Amino acid sequence: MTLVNALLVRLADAVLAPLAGLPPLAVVAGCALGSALAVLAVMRFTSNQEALGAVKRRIHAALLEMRLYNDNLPALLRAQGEVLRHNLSYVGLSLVPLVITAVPLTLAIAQLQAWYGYTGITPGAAVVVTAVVDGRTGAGLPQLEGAGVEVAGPPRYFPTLGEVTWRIVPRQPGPTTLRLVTAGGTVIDKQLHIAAGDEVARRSPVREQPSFIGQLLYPSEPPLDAATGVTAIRLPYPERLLPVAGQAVHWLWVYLALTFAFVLLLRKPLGVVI
Amino acid sequence: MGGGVVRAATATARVAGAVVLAVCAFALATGCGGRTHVVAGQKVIVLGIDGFDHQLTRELLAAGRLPNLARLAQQGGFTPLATSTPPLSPVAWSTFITGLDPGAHGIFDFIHREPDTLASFLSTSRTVPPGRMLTLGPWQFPLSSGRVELLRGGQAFWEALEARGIETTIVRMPANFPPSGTATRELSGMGTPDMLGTYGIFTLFSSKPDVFERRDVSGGVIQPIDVIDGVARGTIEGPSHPYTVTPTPMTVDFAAHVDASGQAVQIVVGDERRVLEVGEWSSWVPVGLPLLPLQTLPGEVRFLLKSLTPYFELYVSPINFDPHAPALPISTPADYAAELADAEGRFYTQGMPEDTRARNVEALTADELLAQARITADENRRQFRYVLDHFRDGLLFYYFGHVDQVSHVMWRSMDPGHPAYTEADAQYRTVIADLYVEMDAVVGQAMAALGPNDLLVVMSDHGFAPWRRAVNVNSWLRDHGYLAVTNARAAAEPGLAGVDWTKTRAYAVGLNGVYLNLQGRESKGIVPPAEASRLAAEIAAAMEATLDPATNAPAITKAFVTATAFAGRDYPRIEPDIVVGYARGTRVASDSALGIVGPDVFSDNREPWSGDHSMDPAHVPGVLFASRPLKVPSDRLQTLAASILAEFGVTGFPKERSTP
Repeated sequence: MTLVNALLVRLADAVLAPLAGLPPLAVVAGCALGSALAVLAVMRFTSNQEALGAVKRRIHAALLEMRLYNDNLPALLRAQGEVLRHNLSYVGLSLVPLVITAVPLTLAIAQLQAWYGYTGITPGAAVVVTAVVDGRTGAGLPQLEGAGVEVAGPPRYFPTLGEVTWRIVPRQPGPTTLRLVTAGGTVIDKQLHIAAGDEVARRSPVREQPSFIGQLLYPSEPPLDAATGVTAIRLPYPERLLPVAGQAVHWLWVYLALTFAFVLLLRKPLGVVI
Repeated sequence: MGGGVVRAATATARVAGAVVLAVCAFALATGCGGRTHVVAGQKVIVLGIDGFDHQLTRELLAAGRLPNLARLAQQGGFTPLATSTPPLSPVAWSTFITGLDPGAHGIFDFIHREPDTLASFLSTSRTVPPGRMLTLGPWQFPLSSGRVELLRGGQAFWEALEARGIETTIVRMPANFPPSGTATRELSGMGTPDMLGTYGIFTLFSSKPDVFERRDVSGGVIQPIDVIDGVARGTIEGPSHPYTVTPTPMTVDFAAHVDASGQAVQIVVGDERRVLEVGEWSSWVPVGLPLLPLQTLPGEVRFLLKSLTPYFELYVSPINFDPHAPALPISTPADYAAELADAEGRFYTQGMPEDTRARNVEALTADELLAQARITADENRRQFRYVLDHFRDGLLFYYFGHVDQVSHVMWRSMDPGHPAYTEADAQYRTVIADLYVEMDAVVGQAMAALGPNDLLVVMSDHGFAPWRRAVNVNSWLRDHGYLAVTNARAAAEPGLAGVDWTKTRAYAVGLNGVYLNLQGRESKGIVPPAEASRLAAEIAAAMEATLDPATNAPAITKAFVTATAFAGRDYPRIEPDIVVGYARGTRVASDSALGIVGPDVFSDNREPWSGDHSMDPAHVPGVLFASRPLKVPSDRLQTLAASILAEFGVTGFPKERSTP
């Protein structure tokens, strides 16, 4: 998974970094269009289009039957049974393309989340960096440093939570690396992106020890080495919301809604049955 | 036939056109033409600064500390602005909003009393519960929706502008909760409750065994808490669950994890975490009050870690509405509060956010209160900047309340003659003046946004004065034979508990109101209506003749008999019969305001609450500045709205009212 993530990060950065100056809504819309085309292509080439068309016609026929014979209980029940049966067939026929599209879409969403899910930490604003430790702090607390970052005050260790926190004040806008040095001398890096404005960039709020879900959700940085005694490092990036018709909306809802809309709009022109 | 149809249609169109023109001409003649003259893009900005005192402003102007206000004074003038009777913020702002006196708009105090039961209620708004409930065992479910009503009567002045198509933005206007819904954009201000439906109930968690023992903690709740194995666990109580028959508070649990060095805590509330050093205020923490298994009422609180050793003390602010999804309406349009929160961050939605109640019972120190007031002021200034940047034309009213609230609890730092003044107060002697200077900078921002045709008005609802001496009006009424008590111990409890109503002719509730025990209005009334005016005049005269034995000066310089003082008489059930105008430096005792009949009439004020304005209105005028002379000059709060409307060419405000 680490290798896959490394490749995907390079691919996503190659595509998204040149677009960072564009309005996020436009990029998300573009990604939704691309995703819709990909979904339609997968549907077109991995599903039995004729069978899908037939089962949809049967569902429509059963719905029509329900409308026509709504005063005939046996006919109504039979038609409902038909709708259910054909719907199951429809799901069965859609299963393969669904599985095929789910994997790349999930990976793409994770990459988009890293680029468009968070805003930067503002210079001058104090934030708390948290390291989750495994309890072996007897030798001393880890220390934190970073270029362009002021560490304000000593680390705070909360034994009941197994967490060490630092208050940092970012000073210089741009990407930087927080360097956490354990009592044993091990150095752990955590990327931090400081932004004065609404700058789009890759950001990762968490770096943690290897786990499938963790690597799926936070693909931007390689997982932590279990031997360091640090199980996770967290940064409080604010969530980015996109302005849509006067409302602030999470980019994922915009992306999913637009993908769905593009699929519906393009299916007939492209001759795809879904 | 075809041509006939065409001709008929043409004739119909002509007739219709003539009718439309006639309607337009009529509208021009009656509505806008002649009475409204709006310059396209014209801006009128009104900054309302609660409690900005005329005398102190004059002193600071003379000292050269208010350069922007000095420029305004030079350009358009600076005058004292006569306040309302009584000079209390909800009353004063309602008077400004409506152009009416309290007898006509119906707001006489912060709280009113129900004459039947003497139960008190918020004066400016009322929550009407659902009409019918379906009860299923311990549960109840509403069959209709409840609502919140604004109790202020009269027409808000901005309605006259909106009716003429002029956009208005009214931000944090007091006595405007729920928002009137008549402005283009509104955010409700003073009078907006916390989620408990009060002006603000704080919670202080403390491990100190004797903390606030035997002490009145009006405005807050003291909860014991202990640090066990490095964690202090507490529960914040919200409003009663609306779906339980037995009132049961909705609660939010939190855990405060103490760090190994004993210098900080990490507070965990649901998914939210905040690390706090001793003496530090948290940012806003969203909390969800559990309503149903998958539904919560969203709110927000701030924490202050007061101390960790030797005792753990954690202050939790009143639960404010979450501006992103407020449980009650606080803005127009409904998502305007969310827009402000998205733009400039979460904010206090509570109408009076500075927790002076906590300061008054010493749950907050002076420094802690000042730090909180700094937070509220910063929130307010950021929002003002945003609103100002998005204001194109029409009317913008923007309110600042922190000067008033800080003045209440810090005034004695400027008053060495105050009975509770100590050397420790001296360090705060410039605090209030510094707030004036900060407001001057805000005025400078507003001035920079003005175009050649635009107008900036800076005004306050009332001024300020020291509060050194306290009068227990109920005790005064007792000593003068107007109020009788059956049981002195019960009379020392709030709510006029020990009063003998069969022998009581008058009583006091609230800050300035004296009520006759009137037959047909009070449930145990003994004063015949025919005797009411004579009795009120008699009591008023006796009050004005009362000398404070400590100063040998009048304690009450004017007692207003409302039957003659107010032009409007629309709210006879809740209107006090006398409004007491105390001498400068004197105010009603807090006990008396709550309906306590104490042993003494006069006492020194030893509360941190050391400045006030609920006195004779003549002693506490507000201020009025304008960036150019007003077309219709004003020196009274009650006529100022009419002067502002006149800038848009709108006259005839307030409308002539028929006698009810």
